Amino acid sequence: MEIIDCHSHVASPRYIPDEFFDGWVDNVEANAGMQGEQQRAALTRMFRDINNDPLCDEYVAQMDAAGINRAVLLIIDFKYVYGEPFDDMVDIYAQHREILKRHPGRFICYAGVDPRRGAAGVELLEIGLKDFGFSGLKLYPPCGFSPSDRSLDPYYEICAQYQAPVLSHIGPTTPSLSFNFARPEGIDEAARRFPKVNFILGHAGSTHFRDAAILAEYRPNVFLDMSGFQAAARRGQFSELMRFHKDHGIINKILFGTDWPIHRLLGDQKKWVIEFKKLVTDGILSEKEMSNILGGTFKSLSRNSLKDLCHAE
Amino acid sequence: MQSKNSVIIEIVKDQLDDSTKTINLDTRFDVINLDSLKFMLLLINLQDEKYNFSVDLNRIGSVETVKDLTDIVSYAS
Repeated sequence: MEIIDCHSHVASPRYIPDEFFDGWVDNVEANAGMQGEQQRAALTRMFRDINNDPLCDEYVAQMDAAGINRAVLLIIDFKYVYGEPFDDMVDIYAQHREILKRHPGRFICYAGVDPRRGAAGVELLEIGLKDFGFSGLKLYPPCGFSPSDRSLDPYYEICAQYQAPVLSHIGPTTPSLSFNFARPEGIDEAARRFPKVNFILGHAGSTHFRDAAILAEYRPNVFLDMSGFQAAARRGQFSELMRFHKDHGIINKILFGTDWPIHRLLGDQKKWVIEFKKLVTDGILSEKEMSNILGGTFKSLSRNSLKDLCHAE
Repeated sequence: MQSKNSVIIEIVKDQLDDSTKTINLDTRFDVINLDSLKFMLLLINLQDEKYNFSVDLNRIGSVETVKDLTDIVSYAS
């Protein structure tokens, strides 16, 4: 059984800014009623520690221990919203390409672009897919745009041309960004207008999952990734969540993802794979369903790009 | 002076809603159902200066029981 983690990031403040985790610290502090500066400092330090694997060496070691064959590295274009130089994105693409070379056959990379970059952004995406060997597009609507905005049409046309899936973030994120455009229904118009593009709703298997399940059931080109399930697993509610997807007949639209390195404080990659496989031993899912979730479905929706990658090995 | 293990057991107990629950080294975390917020608070509290502990976060996935937790906690040098 091939295991593909469809949702991860390179752990580095270069790609996941410190401000992102600082927002998480704010939330933990508020939700837990933390009052000590020392506690805040300890949590900040832990988040800095887990966001420090810029060449993915520790990540590959954990993938090996977990039996994960490959993982999708998602680039997020935070530069536009934080007002940083555009050139930096090209450098970030180049560094991700170096990681692909450093760990041959282990990673698939999705280009990240903020559509407000206009023509330059469209060109950046095409460079990513054509020249850097990337296989899909990552969108982060909390940066302030709708995934169904017409300005994204040229991007989706390129994705259709390259048979490149689009993975769009769903659900809340760090509190400095907007949650307005991060609901499942936001993707509906784009999915309708571009039926040949496969849309993966990031985290939507575990957040806003009821609304997302309706989209997955009625839009053939909409899939849900499970990353973020770790919170449900910690609450002992993961089985219930997966039963929901099975009962709604969308289990073959569900993809395994972990969002590495975000949830490293809650467990390692091996632990998350075990959580999934346990669903088979507990009689909730069949071997075939699990095989699809862990990699089969992702491979089928990636079509040419992933087939080429498999062939190259 | 309390032993490392008994201090850790006390820190785990502090995260429980039910203070009457018995916690020992064999207690499994999936049984006491610490949610992600409480689990993070547990890690934070383990690093309180007064204990002088260090937590090996790379081994956090191996933690199933309180004993496993004690194995990844050491005295900071």
